[in-house]
Amino acid sequence: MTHRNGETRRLDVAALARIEGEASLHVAVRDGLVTDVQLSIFEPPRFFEALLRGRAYTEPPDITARICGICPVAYQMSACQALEQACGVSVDGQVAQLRRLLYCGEWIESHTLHIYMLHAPDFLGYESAIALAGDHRDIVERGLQLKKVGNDIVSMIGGRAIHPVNVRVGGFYKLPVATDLEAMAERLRWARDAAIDTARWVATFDFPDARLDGDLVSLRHEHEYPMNQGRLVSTSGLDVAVEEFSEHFTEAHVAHSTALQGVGPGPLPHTVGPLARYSLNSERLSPTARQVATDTGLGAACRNPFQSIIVRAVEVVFACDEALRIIEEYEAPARPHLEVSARAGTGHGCTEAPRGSLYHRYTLDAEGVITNAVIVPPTAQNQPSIERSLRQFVQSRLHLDDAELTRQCEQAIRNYDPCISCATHFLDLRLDRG
Amino acid sequence: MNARVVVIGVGNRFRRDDGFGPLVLDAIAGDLPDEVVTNESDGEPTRLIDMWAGADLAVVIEAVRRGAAPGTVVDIDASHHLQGAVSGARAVASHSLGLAQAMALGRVVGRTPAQLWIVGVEPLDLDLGEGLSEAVSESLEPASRRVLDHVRAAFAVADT
Repeated sequence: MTHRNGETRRLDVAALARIEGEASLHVAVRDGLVTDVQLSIFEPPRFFEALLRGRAYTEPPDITARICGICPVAYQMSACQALEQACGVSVDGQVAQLRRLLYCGEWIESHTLHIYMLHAPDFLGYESAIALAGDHRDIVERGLQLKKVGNDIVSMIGGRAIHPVNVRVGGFYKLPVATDLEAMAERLRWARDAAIDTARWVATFDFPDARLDGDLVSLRHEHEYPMNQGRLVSTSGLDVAVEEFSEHFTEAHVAHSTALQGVGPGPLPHTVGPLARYSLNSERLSPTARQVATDTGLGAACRNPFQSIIVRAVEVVFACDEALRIIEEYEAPARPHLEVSARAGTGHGCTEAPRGSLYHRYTLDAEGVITNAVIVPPTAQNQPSIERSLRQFVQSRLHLDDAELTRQCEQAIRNYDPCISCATHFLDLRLDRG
Repeated sequence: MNARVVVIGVGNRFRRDDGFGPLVLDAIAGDLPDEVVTNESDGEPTRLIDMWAGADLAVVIEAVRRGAAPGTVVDIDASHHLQGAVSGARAVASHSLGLAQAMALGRVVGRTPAQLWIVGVEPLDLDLGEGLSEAVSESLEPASRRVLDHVRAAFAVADT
């Protein structure tokens, strides 16, 4: 069974499906037992790694931003961090705070899109957000307005909502205008309330029993809920600098997917993303976000992937709070960026994309030409974990017909907000019942 | 009175012919009246409806697969898809995101342009890479002309 965009619409609209982004799920069943689950995801980072070789060290922020329309900031931030490290520069102070503000915008935007447009309709039994909006226009309007606040933060700091152009190695080309920041603070006060209402709303959904049993991995920072900085930690006690990423996490190529799959240190597949971030850092949330988490029934940690929708909503509350704090404490720095001179070396960057830790590594020659680039996106890391959880999930639902099973598998995959070449999601389920 | 016109190039410059929309935007940048708003988009529906809400005319340029010969330019008046009730939940398939979804979502939440034209091209190559295939590249000029015709027509109507 194949789901394709707009099949039932008139031809002139049906033909408008964008082709970018595909995922397929192959499930093999023999004698009532699920024997194999293969999730194939098309992922572009390998292409971009090749494209970056031979380019100047100043180019990755602009080029990698085009890998994903939903999380360009994450690609820019991991790229900048890695390149600055390679060149021996550390960006701090208000420029670092502006980067964090930019990241808050992306979290608000990406999480809200996922909650309202993709995941909530699953829980409420709607075919799509459009059908949901037909019955609950006010709720979807709230989601659209909340998401727009995130978009507009990215435009204000990044220069543009998609493929932001204001980010450069060392900081920004231009600083934001004070009156724009003040106006944004006013909108963020509304957005924080809307995010709290969102968390309360999604907490009323029914959540299937499920538990991620592998390691949860994210950044952790001494004081902050992690976005741009921190050490890589896990629930089983890993605690290493970002530079050691490759010593603990490798990638394995599997025949069924163009994406490389992440392999972590533990015996079971590890998971990155909101559940991991929250479980390893919930005490670092703002007081309001912590209170909302408590009110919605989340403990200090959460391992049910279906409840990731609540965690995302709590992270949106936090991002609004944090953006407000940064704006209120902001004092324009003397310069929008540090001068970064090229030198030979290797640098590592890891930041928390909305869907999990995103690692970049660049090696430069003395002129600043990139001789090697490595990009490990969160979805690649989560793929073995997604497959493992789907295996258990499908096994207990084999009595369902194909259509219902596909619907439920889509919902389970969306728990991980996979970056399936990012803007467009098609799931093609092939169920081989033997 | 000036018409409120927005021209949106949907696509990815690193997916060969999928970059058609943004490349048409580049081609016509110098020929558009100053007051026309241009946007590059990845096709994400909530952004599309923010871009076109309240416009008198939106022109969306995109690679469109219809099974025609590569490079074939299509010019579709999609305005009628923006009116009336949404025809049932099944009208839009499972959670995929794109222009059809943006039109349906825009209708439901009342955020549509008065008139919507889609200028599309039949793509040949959507693999990762830069640059258009030859057949599609040859369609840049005729597609650009179509877009400019729609924009001029909107301003002509506004002037009468």
